[in-house]
Amino acid sequence: MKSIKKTINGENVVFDYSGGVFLENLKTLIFSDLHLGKSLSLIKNGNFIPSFDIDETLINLKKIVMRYNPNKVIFLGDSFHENKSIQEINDNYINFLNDILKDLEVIWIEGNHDLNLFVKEKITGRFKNSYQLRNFNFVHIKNNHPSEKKFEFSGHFHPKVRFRFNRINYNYKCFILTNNFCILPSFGTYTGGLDIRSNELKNIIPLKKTIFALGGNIIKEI
Amino acid sequence: MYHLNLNEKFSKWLKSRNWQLHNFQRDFFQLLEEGKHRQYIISSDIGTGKTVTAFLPFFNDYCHGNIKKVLYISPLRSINTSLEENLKKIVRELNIKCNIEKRTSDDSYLKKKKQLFNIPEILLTTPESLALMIANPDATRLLENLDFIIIDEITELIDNKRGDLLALSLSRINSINKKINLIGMSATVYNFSYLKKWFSFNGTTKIILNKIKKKIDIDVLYSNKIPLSGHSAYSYLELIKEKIINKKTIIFVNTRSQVEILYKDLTLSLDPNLTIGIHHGSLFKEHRLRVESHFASGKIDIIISTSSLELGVDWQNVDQVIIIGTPKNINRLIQRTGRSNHTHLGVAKSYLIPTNQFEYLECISAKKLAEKMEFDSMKEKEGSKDVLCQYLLLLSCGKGFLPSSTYLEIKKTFSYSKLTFFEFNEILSFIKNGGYVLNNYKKWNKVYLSPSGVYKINGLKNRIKTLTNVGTIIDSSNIKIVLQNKKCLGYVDENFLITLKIGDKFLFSGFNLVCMKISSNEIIVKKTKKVLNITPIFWGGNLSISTNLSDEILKNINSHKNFPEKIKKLLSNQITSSSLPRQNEILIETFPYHNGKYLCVYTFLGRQTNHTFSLLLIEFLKNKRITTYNYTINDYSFGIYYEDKKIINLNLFKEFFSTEKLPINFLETFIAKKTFKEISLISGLIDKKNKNKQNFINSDIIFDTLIKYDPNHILLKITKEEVKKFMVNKAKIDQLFKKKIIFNKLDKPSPFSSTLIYINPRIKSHTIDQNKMLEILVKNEIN
Repeated sequence: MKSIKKTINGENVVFDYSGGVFLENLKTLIFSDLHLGKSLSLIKNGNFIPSFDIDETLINLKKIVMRYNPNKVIFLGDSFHENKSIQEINDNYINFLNDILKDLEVIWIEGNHDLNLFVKEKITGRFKNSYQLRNFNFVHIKNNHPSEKKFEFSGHFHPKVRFRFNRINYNYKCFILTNNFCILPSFGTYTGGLDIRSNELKNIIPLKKTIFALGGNIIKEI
Repeated sequence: MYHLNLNEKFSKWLKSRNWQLHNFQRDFFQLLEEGKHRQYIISSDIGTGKTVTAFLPFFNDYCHGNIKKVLYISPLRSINTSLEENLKKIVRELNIKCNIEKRTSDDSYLKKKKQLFNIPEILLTTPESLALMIANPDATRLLENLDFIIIDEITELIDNKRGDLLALSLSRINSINKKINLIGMSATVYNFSYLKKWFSFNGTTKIILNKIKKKIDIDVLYSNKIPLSGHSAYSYLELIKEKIINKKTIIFVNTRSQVEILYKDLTLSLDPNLTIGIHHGSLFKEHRLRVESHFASGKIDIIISTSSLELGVDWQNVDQVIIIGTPKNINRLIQRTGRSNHTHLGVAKSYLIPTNQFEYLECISAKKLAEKMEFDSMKEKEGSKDVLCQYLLLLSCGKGFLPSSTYLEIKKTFSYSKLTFFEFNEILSFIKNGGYVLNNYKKWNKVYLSPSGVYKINGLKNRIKTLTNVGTIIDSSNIKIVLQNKKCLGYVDENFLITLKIGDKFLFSGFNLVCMKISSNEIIVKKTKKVLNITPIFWGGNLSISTNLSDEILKNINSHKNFPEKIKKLLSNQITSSSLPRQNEILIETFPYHNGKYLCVYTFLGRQTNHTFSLLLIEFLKNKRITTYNYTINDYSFGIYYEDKKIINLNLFKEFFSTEKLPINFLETFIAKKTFKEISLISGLIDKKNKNKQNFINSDIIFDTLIKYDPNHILLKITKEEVKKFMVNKAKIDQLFKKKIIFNKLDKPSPFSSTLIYINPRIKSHTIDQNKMLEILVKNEIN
């Protein structure tokens, strides 16, 4: 399956294998944790790892935007790995990003990695702490006391699900979906992940939940 | 016999110790005096006083008032500690002025700094500390003024990456110090030609042989309670307790967790007068040093250790050695046995303890080969280029390097004699800025070209990073275990941290501990009296068995008349449920297992052959549209786990044996990712010790993006080379295809397959794609 459709608060919500979420009637695409420029922050510190993560993440982003053809795109924070990232990423990539998002309404929620971004003005869109749309709330880190009426989308944790099969571990990025919130997987290429059974996540996820695991080109409900 | 120019004081001292120079020692004195060679290799059996031999001529010279500066390099830090004491004792007895100091990562910064200005006569160090000296401009004077470099246990180094780094360092010293002489010490030599080539930095090497053979006595112990599988010595506790009474003993085990478990089991019910110490690489250095010195002085009677005490530790009062589990290769068995009765005439004594029934066969075979002194052969190794990356970075931290002359210097080592200038430049561009296509980020270059034409490291940060990343041993044990009073007990693997929860109890450093707090690089623990369910800590590396040993086992299983009952039963069960392979046969079994099927192939040709063979087979099965999930390999056999619905039969195998094999794409295999990780750590792409979790990147992801965006990158080339080195050649595989196939379709696992499928770690198959695997996993989860 390429995507899974659910109805939340009366809205058709499409969970895509790429890690993006599409609100069908609102024509809104949601992504989280792109961590653009993560490679550069390592390079600066003397680890000359290849910076192709920027290419990979942006190409993936472009594919999804073209496929869903949205009016609005919301990034749930940690879109940039550091507050200097926009400055440091080569201008070609910044132009490429602006080109993908051209003519769209873009909301950048600020995360813990990209608070106080330098040269924000080079990027198209508005920067916000959190954002509301109809019955939905968009934040970087899940609220401990979410409002009862609004369904919340958040990122931050980079959730992953671990399977054990014939004594080998297999890890997949995943969505965590519950009655009143959804945590998105990270969209960035070089981003790691946190097992859904880890202490940090276990404390905030209720027992009743749905997990969508992302394979290379498919999404599967567990 | 020729007359030796022995100093009177020195001769007197020899007499006082009741020592007489052996022939090989006299040869060595004589040859050094003649000075016709620049490199010497002394080869003598373990426990014949090799190491001290190398120093005797210098002590004689010191008595003459002729001061020589000597640098001694050993592969293990623990050797240096015991050697320092032994040499200092000689100096005291001779009453001469001679400073002996150590320089390893265990020594303080201040001490090391002083050594550079107040150079000791004898300096004891390790290959890694030597590499750091090359990177330190202040150490140049010391290296320039050396007369001799002694390299101990050289065969432990020349077949691996540590040896590559050492070769490079030696080539550097040879070019800045024109008078240097090298002395290599090797215990058991099986391949003189390679050793000679590797060591001949400056003209040919002279070999000095000790013809007197050390006597060894090995017994294989057997317990009626020996289990079918497992690696615990539990069924032998009584037997071990019996053997260690009144005997000074070293007990060797194969993994660090076995050390801890055995210590717990033995101390629970032991005569309180006996004291036991433990020793392994994860323990805090002060603990290790204390155990070593207590054992030497007699405060500890028994020491339980991993291979960390295997080499060169010169304790002459050890009565016996107990080896738990097979030592996996003959050299290691002889090496470990040789730790007992460490004198020229003493007979080295060891007891081999097989921990499972199959291991009994291994132990019997190992004993036979060791008694025949059939050593494993050593493969020639070409220098690995990731080590070269590290070396060039180290040079740039010192006075910098001039590319053209450094290239020629490197070419002088045997290991890198085939390096082309093109490859050298690729490596240079990698250490400069990663050497990627379309590199847009030149402002953060790691090294820069100075106006004088030499390459230098850029900035203090890069310098510190390079120096802390030195070395080629990849040990992921960097999580500290500390008590609440901040006292450090040692280090564990990161994987352990992931599985640990607060309140978990585990064994470490001989204590029962309970986990109180976990941070990203520390586990805070409290000692506890209660012995509760114990989490084993680490499995450590799986040692690989040597080819001649697995071949010997194949011989032995077919002549099993004298074996104990349980072992006979194992073999007869194997015959009734499947069959025993003969020497010209290859046994193949298939049987159902959980939701899939296993295919087990028994080659008895060693792990490397099995790995190569299994990859060829997986590739073949993929073409037959049979999905393989994962595979597992040991020294005798391999097992492939594949999907349930498909059928593998004799005809399919006949086809596989008779047709041209599909080439393996080295970069597609799972070992490529593992190899790439090691290369990234050694070449400085990622750090060995990562403190900052935010900036952690899985090397697998880097590997995947490189293949996609820069497939010709130097690191991928190096990965390919290293994977190729790991694979065995076609001739060896072809030999296998001449054997007769015995194909057995079974309903359940055979006795032989049980060690393979129940204990061994699995390796993911590279032919199954992520999507399909996810579907299988989800289905499996629902079931």
